[in-house]
Amino acid sequence: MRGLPCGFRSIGGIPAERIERARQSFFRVFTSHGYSVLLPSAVQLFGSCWERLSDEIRNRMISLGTPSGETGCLSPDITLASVSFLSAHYAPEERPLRICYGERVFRSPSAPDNTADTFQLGAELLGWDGEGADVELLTLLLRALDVLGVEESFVVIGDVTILSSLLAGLPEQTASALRNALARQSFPAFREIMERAPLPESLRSPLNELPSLRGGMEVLKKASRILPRGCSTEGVGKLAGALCSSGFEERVLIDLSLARELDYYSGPVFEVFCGKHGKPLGGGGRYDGLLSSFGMMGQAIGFSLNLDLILEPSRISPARSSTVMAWPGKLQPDKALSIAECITEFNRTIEMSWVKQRHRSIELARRRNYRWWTDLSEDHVYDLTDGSRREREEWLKEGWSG
Amino acid sequence: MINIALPTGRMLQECIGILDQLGLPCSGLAKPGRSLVITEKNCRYLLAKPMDVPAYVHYGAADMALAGSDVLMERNVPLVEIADTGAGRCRLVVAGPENVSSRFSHPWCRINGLRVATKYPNLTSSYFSYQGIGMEIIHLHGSVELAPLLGISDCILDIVQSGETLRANGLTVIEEVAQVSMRVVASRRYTHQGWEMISSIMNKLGPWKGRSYHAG
Repeated sequence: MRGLPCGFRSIGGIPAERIERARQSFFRVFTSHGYSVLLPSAVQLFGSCWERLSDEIRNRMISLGTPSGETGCLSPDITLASVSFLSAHYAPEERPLRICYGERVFRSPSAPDNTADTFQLGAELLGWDGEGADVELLTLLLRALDVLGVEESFVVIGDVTILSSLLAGLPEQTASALRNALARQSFPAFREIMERAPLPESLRSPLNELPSLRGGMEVLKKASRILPRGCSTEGVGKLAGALCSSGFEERVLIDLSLARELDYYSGPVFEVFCGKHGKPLGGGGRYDGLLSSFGMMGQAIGFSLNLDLILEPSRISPARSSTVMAWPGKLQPDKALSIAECITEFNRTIEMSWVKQRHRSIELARRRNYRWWTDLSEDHVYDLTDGSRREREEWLKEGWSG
Repeated sequence: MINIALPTGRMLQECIGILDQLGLPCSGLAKPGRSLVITEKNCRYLLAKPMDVPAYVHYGAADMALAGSDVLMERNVPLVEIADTGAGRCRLVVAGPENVSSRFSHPWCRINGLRVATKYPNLTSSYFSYQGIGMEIIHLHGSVELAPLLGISDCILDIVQSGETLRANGLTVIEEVAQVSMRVVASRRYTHQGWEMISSIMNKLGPWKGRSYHAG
């Protein structure tokens, strides 16, 4: 019997603990700033997602029938589920609303990856007007990346309204082809469409230069010379400027041609990268338009990160390395468990091994990559990395040290 | 240090010419021996099977690569396509014997269910299904022209340069799917971190060129 459908995963052992630790670390950053945790349903209404998501994601939605006969899909995007929840459960006067989540999303695999489920961490902030909300969310995002141990992380900020303004007067077919070429990140295709399309001369230079408007804050000066008056870079400038002033100047870049794959963004957008991966760890942006499609007015911003990508290069160590394996020795189980309980009161994680032979218990601890082992009938703890022995009481007072 | 993935095989010589044109150090690539990683000054070259090149960039092992547009279409990996070098230009075509060729000039129902031999199963599937034509795809890894000769397939979808091999095996071009050439690609991350390098490459290659393809 096969255990799982192709592309789906059950995760256990150390990888599961790494994911859970990362979720908890992420939640700590956001809940300490007033965000509440959301546990969204794993199934969403197919039609609701189809209306609001891009073609690329629509083609990858995994549909299913619900017990009530509706057509559903495994959740392809948690922002939609979040906004749907918030619009249904909170009155306008309860805003602003802040939520964070760490859940699975499901999409048919796209080359060269072959998994249909990925873990997403994310946060949404609804109902605050002005750039303060954008700065808050991105600041917490960068802090969360540090807490998660993601090395060489940086954000790239753009604004989808810049491209929309440039394309506003063009025939829909041309505008759509140019937008798609940028979303596919094909500069030759973008250039070719420009050469063939009947574009006004005044637009040729700004469109031609748009993909090269990327880099540090100096890009904004260059953009002011190139872009027409209607294309404001003020939003990107304020956001990037505020992050630089907050000490993140080494981790903020600008790309004024940035076009996110989701169609619901309507203002500043951003993508997150780290030193190891060629593709983004995630991204997000302003989605005021999506909010209004759920009957809510005002400003909204959110992001999601692919936790599977984050955990690959991060320094988050498996929780078990700090676990102590306890062997009861000559003690009866009830007495051994009572001593074990005392140990857990010092914030230590303990696993009992009920084998009869002492050496087998130590072997098991080593196999599980535990650093500490103790015989509960004695007063010592052994460090399995170097074989040294310490007084248990003294060891407990030292606190957690990995 | 910049990591550049290059395709092994006959395309490697074309790549050396392009790297030379870009002013990148590449003398060690002429005779790589069995080495798959060659470092020259600030460039580390990763030599990979042509079909694997996009994956090396996608997963971040390489910052940039030279890859055929046929490979990019087949693998469909989200990379940033920087420029069309114009090198290695050829065509991706559907080809077959005369009797099959004539079926393509009739309404599509005459070719529904034909068997196509190809090295590009994803591209072939996308090309025909976009037109609403159901084809049986036979995935081969080389010498695709053999398949119609031996009756394994009715036609092929493959790259053609001069057309000599097709003619020698009694095949003719039925329709063109796309123009193929060597492209410079980069990872999304590197287009931000290494933009200076990328813009200098674009400047050295002259005006950006581009060819769309008809599939999907």
